[in-house]
Amino acid sequence: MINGQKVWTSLAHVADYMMLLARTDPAAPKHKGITYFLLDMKLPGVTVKPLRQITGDAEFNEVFFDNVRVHESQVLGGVNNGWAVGLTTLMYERLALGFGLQVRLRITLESLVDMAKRIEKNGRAITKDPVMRQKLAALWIDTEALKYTGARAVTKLLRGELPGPEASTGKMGWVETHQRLQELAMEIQGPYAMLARGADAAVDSGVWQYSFLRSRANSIEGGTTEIQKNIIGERVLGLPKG
Amino acid sequence: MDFTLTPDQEALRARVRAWLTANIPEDWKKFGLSEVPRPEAYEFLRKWQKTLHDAGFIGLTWPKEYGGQGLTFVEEILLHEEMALAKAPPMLNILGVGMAGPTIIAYGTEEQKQRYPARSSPARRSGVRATRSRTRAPISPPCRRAPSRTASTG
Repeated sequence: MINGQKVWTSLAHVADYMMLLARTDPAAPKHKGITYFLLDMKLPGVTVKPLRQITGDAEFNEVFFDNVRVHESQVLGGVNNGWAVGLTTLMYERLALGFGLQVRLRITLESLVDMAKRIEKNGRAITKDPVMRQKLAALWIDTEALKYTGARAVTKLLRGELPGPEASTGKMGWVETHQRLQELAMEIQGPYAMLARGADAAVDSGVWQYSFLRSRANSIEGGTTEIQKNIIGERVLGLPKG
Repeated sequence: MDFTLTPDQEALRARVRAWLTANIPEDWKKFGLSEVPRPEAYEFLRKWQKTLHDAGFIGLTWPKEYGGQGLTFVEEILLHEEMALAKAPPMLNILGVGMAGPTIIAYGTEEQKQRYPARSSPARRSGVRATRSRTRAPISPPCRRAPSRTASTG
């Protein structure tokens, strides 16, 4: 029987199943006493409420569990073993999914440079503006650095080791770079930055306005920046717990 | 580590690249090439994932008896890299394919392994996670657009 709620469950409104980590032994230490469920979303007592985001989409959801009776066949990896099972999920997240994201970041930067060449400010292309050039170059440098941080992370995982500090610094580096890239996309467009999809004069049909707004979530999703800083502080720098 | 690809991996990369060139639907552009699935694209993306599945590109690391290809992380990463380079539509049920599936393969009972990965792969619906927020912990290795032998993480 499961009771509780979980905010931010991506695509829950169209899902058949969810990965659910629930505390099943309240007396056990924090990372013990958790069980990983493959939960049938259609079970009685499961309520999904889509959350409207700043982008206008509602891809995240809040899920409520009211006396949800779960059959033991939906337990994955044994009762109270959810921490270990969950780590496997996170490892795959960092490896396969994170990789695609990082590649996409560099492709987005190419699109940004392409847009900057097409837009003029004070009678010349944005890419002729020395300050803008420096900002674009700084983004390129950061994406290259992320590539090598990522290579270190993947090397460890391929050797069968758990993600180490490079996983947290890589996540934070990606967030910071991507959000800065999206902010620069708005700056480059000047007053046109106000025009989103549907406006005749919107730059590139308004795709940047969506990706800019969506990028604000990056520092929350996949482990918040605050959590990443805690990990780096405690496990990398060996600082005392606050 | 050495990121040089084996001949088989190079061949897979070439096959994925050629397949994507031929199979990314023309009408994908009208959805703005968004790497984040937009609600208006859900139906389109369901069909896309079915197309990927029929071509054998879903669950590369899963054993063949559970509907996968029996390959390694390297091939999985290579697929995602090529999809990104081609600006291909994303996998709608990436949470099921990329996270839940491999976890079930690792920890599931025989019954679960038979049941869930095979079900999630054709993207009848999209899977979901309740553990944390979105699924992308963006960590990744080097790669190059040019078909260089040392390119990426492979």
